[in-house]
Amino acid sequence: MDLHKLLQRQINKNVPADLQDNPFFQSFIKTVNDSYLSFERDKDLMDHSFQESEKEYNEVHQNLKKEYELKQQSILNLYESLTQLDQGYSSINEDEKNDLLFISKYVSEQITKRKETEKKLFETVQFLKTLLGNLQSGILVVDNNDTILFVNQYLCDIRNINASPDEMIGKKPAQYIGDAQVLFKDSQAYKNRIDEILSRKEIVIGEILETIDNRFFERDYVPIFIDSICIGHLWKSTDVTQRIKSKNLLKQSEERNRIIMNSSLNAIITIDSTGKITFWNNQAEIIFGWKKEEVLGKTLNETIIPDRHKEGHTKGLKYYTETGKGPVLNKQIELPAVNNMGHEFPVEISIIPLEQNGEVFFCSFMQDISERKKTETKLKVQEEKYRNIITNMNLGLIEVDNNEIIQFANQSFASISGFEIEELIGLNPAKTFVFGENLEKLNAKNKLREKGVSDVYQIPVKNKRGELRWWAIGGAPNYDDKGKLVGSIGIHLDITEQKQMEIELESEKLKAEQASKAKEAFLANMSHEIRTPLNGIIGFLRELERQNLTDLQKKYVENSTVASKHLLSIINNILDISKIEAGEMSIEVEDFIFENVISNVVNVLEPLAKKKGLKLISQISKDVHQVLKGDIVRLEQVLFNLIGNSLKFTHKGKIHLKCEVLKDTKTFQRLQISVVDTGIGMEQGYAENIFNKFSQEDKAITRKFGGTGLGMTITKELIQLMNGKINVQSEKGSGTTISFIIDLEKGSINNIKKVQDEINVDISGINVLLVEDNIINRMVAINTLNYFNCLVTEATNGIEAIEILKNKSFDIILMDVQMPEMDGIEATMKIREELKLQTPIIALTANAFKSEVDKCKNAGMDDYITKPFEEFDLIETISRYTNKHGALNDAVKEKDKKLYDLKSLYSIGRDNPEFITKMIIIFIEQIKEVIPNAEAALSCDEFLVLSQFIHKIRPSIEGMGIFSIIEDIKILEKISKEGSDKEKITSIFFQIKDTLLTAVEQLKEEIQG
Amino acid sequence: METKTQFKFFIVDDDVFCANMYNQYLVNMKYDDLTHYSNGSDCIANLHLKPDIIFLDHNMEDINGFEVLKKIKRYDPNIYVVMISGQENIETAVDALKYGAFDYVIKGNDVYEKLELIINKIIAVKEQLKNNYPGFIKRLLSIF
Repeated sequence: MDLHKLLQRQINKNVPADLQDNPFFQSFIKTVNDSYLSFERDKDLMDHSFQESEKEYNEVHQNLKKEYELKQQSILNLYESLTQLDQGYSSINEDEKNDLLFISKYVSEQITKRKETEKKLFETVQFLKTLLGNLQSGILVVDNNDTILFVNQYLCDIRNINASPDEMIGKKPAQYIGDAQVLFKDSQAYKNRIDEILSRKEIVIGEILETIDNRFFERDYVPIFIDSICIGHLWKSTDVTQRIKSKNLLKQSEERNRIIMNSSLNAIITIDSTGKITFWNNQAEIIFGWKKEEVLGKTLNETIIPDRHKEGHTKGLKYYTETGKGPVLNKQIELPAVNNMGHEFPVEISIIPLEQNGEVFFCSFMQDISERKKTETKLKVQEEKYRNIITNMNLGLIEVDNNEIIQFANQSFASISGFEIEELIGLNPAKTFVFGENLEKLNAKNKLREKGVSDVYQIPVKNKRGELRWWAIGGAPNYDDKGKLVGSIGIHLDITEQKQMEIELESEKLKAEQASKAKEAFLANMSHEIRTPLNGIIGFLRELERQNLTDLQKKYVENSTVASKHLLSIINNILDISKIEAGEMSIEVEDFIFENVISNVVNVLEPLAKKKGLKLISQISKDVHQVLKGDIVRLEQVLFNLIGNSLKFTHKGKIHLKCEVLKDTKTFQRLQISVVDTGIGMEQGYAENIFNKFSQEDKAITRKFGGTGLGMTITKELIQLMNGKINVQSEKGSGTTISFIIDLEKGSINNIKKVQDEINVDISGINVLLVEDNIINRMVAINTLNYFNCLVTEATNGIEAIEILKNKSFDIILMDVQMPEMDGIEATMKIREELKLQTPIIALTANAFKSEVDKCKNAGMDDYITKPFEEFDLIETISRYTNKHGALNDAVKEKDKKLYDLKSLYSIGRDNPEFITKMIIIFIEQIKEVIPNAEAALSCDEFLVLSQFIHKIRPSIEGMGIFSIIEDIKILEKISKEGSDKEKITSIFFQIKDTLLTAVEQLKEEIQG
Repeated sequence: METKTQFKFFIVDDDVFCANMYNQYLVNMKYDDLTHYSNGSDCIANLHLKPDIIFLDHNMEDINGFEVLKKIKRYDPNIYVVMISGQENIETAVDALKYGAFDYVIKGNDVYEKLELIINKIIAVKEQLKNNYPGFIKRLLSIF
């Protein structure tokens, strides 16, 4: 057995060798040896394990060592950083510093603190962001790298940026400037300004920008400096439109207030409680002469208050400051003031104490009232003046109220009326003074006052004594100062004497008028009474001339004729004058050939001139229109008078008749017609007198030259009637020039009445009825008519004439107007209306007044001849009214002769061919329509209808100048109306029809040709 | 002459010839505002045109001249109506004037002169009416 060495040794040493071989022992020793062996194995295992652990331990140790070093290093670092980061650290004891635990605790504390701070900071940032985001200003923060750090939504909105703030952060602002730029009024300037601000990096606050839609933004630029280093900048933009607007409004209102204050017509001055001037408007400058700059800060005493009021002003101010009261405040007072020149003048001033922000100041409104003062004074003086006038002029003045009761009366009224003033008050003037129908008049006047009308009237009244007086009363409504009618004022003047004179004058005038009428009647009568015998004288002289006379007898007859004709001309002149004075003279207007008028006059007067050895030269300007319109007779009369006058007063030399045109218009010519003679002339001073009646410069001349003394008067009156002017220039001894200027309308040659050819005056065989009561006149007429081979039947008055006419028809009737039994007018009416005769009736009248002529014509006479008549006139007139019968008889003979006469149509149409043609066409149509209708009416015996048809065409026939049937037409109209004489109606109708149809044919040719 | 008062004329006459004549008369007198109606009804229907002067034929087929005259006068009494008639009848003339005609003219060759006279009369009357307004009454002692 192999035992363990140790065990072996031990057994060897301790166990006897006997035992050693014991089996029991050997089994024992074997077991113990097994344990030894196991122990040995365990021990080896143990060793190995220990070795391994040792190795491991060494490694760990090594690592730890390194770690430690590192820790050491980091602690070192920690210390360093602690020293650096935290000032508090240095305060820590050195001993403690080595205490890592303390440090760590400290640091841990610090960190906790910091975390706290950080948390707070974050909250703050968040708060700020929210704040900035919600701020009503646009905020843009940009860092130094021109990167947006912050922007709020509001900025995006107001700058019209289309990005959200989150998008913008981190971007460049330049990206968005384009959006914003267009918003502003001057977009380029906006951008430039931004660039400028950015380059300066100086704070800019309160810049106002205006957008194109009139909003305003206030923009601030704030560069952000931290420790003097700019780290970025902030833009802030706020919409201040409202503010700007209200500011503008405020400015405007302030401006307006200032303008109002300055333009006020009152001087406005404010002073503070110490009396210093604080405001001084423009008007104050004007009124007081002081400039605003000169007075501000001064006291009123130093400027505008006159010396004597200075103390009062100071006291007043003091009194107010002490008591808060001032007797002159808050009302209008008048005070004197001085201007800068020291001139004193009155002002109206109101001082208003005002309080603003606890400061008391006084505002004074002042007005220069020197003008007003002057006016007031003037008014006072004037009032006094008028009061004096009323008192001194003895005009009775009363005031009555609305009930007509006297409220006031002055002394003059008292003396006019005879009452005492005290008695008058309370009286009713209408009841007291006025009587009878005048009451109504006065009431009417009072009504007028109520309407506010004032007037002056005259009224008879009774004064206190009951005497009749006439008063002129000027009444006017009386108003109180509110314009309410309170009564009326009457001013009374006693005009009794004037009124009496007026009444007398009135009756004188009446008398004068009656006298004038009597004169006219006298003239008319005289004219008739003288003419009748003169008619005989001239007529018989004419007859006598026809006898075989000796030369001497012939000369006597001739002289008698001249004398009687002169007498006639005097009567004619007197008649003319009285006609003119009675307004009876009227000027006819008809076309005439001017040259003919002149030559008529010259032809008549030339022999007379030659007889005296004078030359009569007429000279008509060739500019004078050939045909003019006017009254030939009167024009000739004027020329006869003027040239006759010259002839009378000229002994040698010549008489020159000149006609010149002064003015030539389309419608009229202004002519100057002058008669220049080389006669005896007269003083120019007398020249105007020649137009007076019966005047010649020297009474001796009258005897020498004779004359009616009316010629020039008539001439002047006639020229005035023709709207002309006459002018005399004369020099004694060398001659006279009388010229007149008249306007004459231009006429047409077509309108000239053809002068009847003298051959036509063959009236032999004509049957004349002469109605005349005066036997001499009858004989004169019969002689003349017999001389021309007329058959004359006489009648001495109207009744006789009518009796004769019942049985016999005549070609013409000559009818005296004034006759006994039945005068010519009545007879004519009877002839026309009862006898139904159309025989022409010529009036023979000695009364040449127009009224008489009109009466004749109205009665149905055809024409008139004034007695004494010129033989030719009578014959010519008779032939004019009788010859047409002859023409009618010759109608057949003159078939080709035109039945119509368009002269008057041409004259009416002013020679306008279109008008003529139109009228002819109308006429033809009318005739063609009427004639068959009329014929039909005739065949049914409807004479009245026929009469109407005839009546209808009569004016046309007259217008077309178909004269041959005019009389027949009249007759036809008349007898068909009566409807009794069918035979005559039929015969006249067919005669007319023939003529009309012929005329129509001729007219047709006329318009075709 | 040159400065003539212008009037508006109506000529009422069923006789075209006469109407044309009057028309020409008035043209000659330098009036140019002239209207012609051939019957009374047309004239009355056109009164709103405010004629100043109407020349009215008395004897017309549709309505009697007097009826027309009365109607005109009822419409506007200030229109001057001049009756023109072929009848030389005093009664007609008096009636015309009674019904308010300004004047009465008898047809004939002297109508022209008559028309001119009448127009002048109308001018004078108008002038007179104008002047008749109470002038400014000078206020005596106007201080009150």
